[in-house]
Amino acid sequence: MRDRKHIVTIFSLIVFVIIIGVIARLILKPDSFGEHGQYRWNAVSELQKQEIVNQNISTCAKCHDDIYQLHEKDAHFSVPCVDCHGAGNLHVLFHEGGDSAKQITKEQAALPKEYKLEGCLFCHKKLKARPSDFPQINQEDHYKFLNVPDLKTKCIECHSPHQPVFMLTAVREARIHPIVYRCTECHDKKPEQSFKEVAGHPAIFECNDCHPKIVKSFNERPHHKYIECRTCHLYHKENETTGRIYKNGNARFCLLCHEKKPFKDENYPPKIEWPSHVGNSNIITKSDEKICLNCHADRIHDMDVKIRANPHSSDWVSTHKNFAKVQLTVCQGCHTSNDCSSCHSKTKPVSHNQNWRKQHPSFGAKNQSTCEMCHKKDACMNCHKLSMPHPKGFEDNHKEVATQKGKAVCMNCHKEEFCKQCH
Amino acid sequence: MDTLSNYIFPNEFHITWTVMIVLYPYITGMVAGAFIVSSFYHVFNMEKLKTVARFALVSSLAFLLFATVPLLNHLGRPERAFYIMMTPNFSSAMSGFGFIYSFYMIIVVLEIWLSYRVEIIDKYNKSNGIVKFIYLVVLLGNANDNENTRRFDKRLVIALASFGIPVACILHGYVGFLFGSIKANPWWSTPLMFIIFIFSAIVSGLAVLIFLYQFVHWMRKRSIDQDCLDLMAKWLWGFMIIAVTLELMEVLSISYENTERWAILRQLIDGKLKLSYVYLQIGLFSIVPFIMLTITSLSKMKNTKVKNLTIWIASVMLLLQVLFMRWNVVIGGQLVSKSMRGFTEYFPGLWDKEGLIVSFLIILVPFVLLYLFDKVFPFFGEKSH
Repeated sequence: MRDRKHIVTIFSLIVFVIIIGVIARLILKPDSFGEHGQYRWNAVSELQKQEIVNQNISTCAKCHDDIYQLHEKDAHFSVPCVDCHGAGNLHVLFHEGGDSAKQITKEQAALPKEYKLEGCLFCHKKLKARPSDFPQINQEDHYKFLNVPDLKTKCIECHSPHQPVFMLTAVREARIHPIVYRCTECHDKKPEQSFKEVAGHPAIFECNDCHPKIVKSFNERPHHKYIECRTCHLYHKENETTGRIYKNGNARFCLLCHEKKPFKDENYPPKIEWPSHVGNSNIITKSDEKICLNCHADRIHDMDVKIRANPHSSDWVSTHKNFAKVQLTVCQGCHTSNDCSSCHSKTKPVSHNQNWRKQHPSFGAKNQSTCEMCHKKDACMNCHKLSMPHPKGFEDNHKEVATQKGKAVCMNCHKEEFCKQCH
Repeated sequence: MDTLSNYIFPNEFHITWTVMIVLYPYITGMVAGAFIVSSFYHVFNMEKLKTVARFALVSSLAFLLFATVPLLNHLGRPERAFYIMMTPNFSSAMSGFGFIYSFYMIIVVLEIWLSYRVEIIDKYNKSNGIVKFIYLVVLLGNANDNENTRRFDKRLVIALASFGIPVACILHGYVGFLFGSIKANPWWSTPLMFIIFIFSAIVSGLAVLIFLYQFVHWMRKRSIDQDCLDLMAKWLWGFMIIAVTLELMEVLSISYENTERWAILRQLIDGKLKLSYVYLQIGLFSIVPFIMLTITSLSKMKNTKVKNLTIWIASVMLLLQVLFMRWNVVIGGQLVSKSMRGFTEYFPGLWDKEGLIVSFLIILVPFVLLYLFDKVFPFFGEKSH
């Protein structure tokens, strides 16, 4: 037995260690473990008590309202601030002040502001698994299209993260439009054949089906060689039948391709210096969002002139004379001599013929700024004794206006029969 | 991100199980393989393997001690590993590994303790002071050594080794089972997986022993026990044939079934894994060592230096074969998108937490441990100067 003692000892030791392990387990097993499954039940309430670190977008908006407004309007409206800037709890506590702020350093409170290429591509890299209507790029193709040789160029050199595509219409207010398909939603590459040439192919609605005139005019202009309708008219699918479409004529949207930047090729696509392209003086209001279309709409497709606003500042009628004396060539960039003579000739404009009295209300309603180039703002008031055209809601309170100003004011334009149509 | 191809879901940009999970079955395989080699001597009385029996056993322990390190590094909170013991979940496949690992550790430590007891008593008798005390603690206060104790120890070692073989197979088969039972992964989900893992484990165990045995003897300029080496080479040849055949049979089986998964797996083998699987694992590191070991095993090579060098190179190549096999299984399986229509991409960074340098260090540490053990208890007798 003596010679087996060491064997007994080591097995006793093993048994002892196992017993110690069992006792240790009883002592160290976390409270509430196994009450409702293979986990610590108390962990649930502990997690519930944890402070929320990710800040809500409305919290950010309290201080950064300008950015919030841009963000809410544009394509990134559904991306919360924390996705790019981090949780932000320390940032908020620090700037709110109070006792808790004292323990936070400025460095801790600072939010990351660097937008890495990979950060953007995490959502926008071209992947077949993404919904086809989701904006996504093959980086190489995208840069090649824009003639940007350096693939390390950051997205923010062109796109503002808060307003990536400079939409004119707020995303949630954009027009509902029937579904617009792209060939690449089903095909790997855009087929060379039209679907009409393929027997049995499902019918696809194309832009041309509803907007033939615009598509025809687009196909006659230079842009059609390089871009398609949806390049500018961004389409956001909302369900299987409809989505929202954007009439993006924002100057900054045009500048995404056409602004000169050191990292872009100089020749293609055609580029301009911005904002010097529109002059260094205040001849054109640079805040006008559709400023490019004022002169270059004909490079895209036929457009309703209504979308074009007067690009000049409000005091331009009185100040343009001095400007034209010195820099007439700048004016001639957009205007012909006929434009000058339309106001400055002693004769009336051709449009002001014998029918003009009848026609001017509808023209004035649409082109008030054009009238104001010659006529003073109160010109309407001189004849009509009312601000014209009738403001919104006039129909509801016209009875009071007629009582106050007298029925004769109405009769300047309307006949007695006009009242009888309703009364 | 540049080489993602076809239909990939956004959450598949980065794979979850990195090179650390490649190392984990690789090291575990060497544990099981080395132990089985030691059992050839202890249980099956292959006297020719006596030279490497204890070396194999200690190698097994050295690798065993570090088998979980890649996992702990990967998970990032090593202290939580003890929760497997504190809050055991007997229905979890992962925690099952923890129990088998612990049980196997007891067997190996016990076997080594009994195998080295005579040497420890000898060191105890020759040492003084604190060192003597340490030896006494290791001996559990009992330095009794005679014919009877040696006989009892030997019997117990045989019993433990016999018991250890199935446990070693379960340990490594279990790692294969973890992959093979993941039915959502078309590249892993096969009942053959754990059998392949066991055989590749024996191959890697034999290969690492041949590699180290020759390497140590060349460094020390000592003569090699040719019979022992030849036998190990023959076993290596035999087991590698089975392992590689099983690996190919698995692919053949998937290919012949021609179910929907083959469409993507064919692209995987012919695309992302073409280099690591077709050219390296099968082409270079399976066929070439097979030819080399066939020659050394079947022909009567008179030039033992050339023969031994051939065996050594074959063992290194087979070590790499098994490493590539682990890589192709673990990483290859994750490269396939759950859409079954696309692939992601992965290659570890050099200095990453789970990168190449860390991987190399984790692989290196068991060898350093073996070196230190050899300093105290030389595996192949005292050094000749």
